[in-house]
Amino acid sequence: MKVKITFYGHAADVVKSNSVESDFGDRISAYGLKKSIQVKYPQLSTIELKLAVNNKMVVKDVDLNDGDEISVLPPFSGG
Amino acid sequence: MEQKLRKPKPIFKQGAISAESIGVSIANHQSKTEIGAHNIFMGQVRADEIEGKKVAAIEYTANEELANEAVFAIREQAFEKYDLTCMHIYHSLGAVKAGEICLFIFVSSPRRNAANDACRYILEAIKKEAPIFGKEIFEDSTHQWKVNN
Repeated sequence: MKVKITFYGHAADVVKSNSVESDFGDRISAYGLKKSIQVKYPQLSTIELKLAVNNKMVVKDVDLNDGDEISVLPPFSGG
Repeated sequence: MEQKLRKPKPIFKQGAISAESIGVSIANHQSKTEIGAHNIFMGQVRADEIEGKKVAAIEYTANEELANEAVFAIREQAFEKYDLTCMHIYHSLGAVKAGEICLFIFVSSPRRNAANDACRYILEAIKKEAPIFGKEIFEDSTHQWKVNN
């Protein structure tokens, strides 16, 4: 199952990429994906990450579907 | 009332928000004579000094679609909550130098209390809910990620 992951702000800095496509085999949930990102990039486990799936904020865990677009959002710092 | 139920409008401007555009925005309200009070918030990039290095600029990025939707929701909530005539919100994208304006919130109401309270409400909500990210760039070109307090 392939999803497109877009990293923003500090997260893009750590990952050194704005956007990647990842294959997660059978199934993965939004929180599972977050966990796998934080395992791969330990620096991201020290900041609070929010996720959006297809530009909807994730407020409780959901299973991801093939082709979903995931935004990985570090703490907001507008203004 | 029709004016208050508009669809999300892009809030982002590339680079700094100019004093001229702010002046024009104020002038555009002179025909709306039901207004008795405006409240304006302008965020300016501060040249913070951190460990001997001075912030020269902040470079803003965002998930624009999500941020526009978040600000639209905040705008609708503010219209529900306060007696407002109109509201204009702009945020910068890209680099904004120290001393330049990066956020402009302009709230108008028949009465001052509604304008004052709404402006503060909107500002705090944008900082908390809009996925916008500020990279503080120091004079020596190193950077750190801005954190909102």
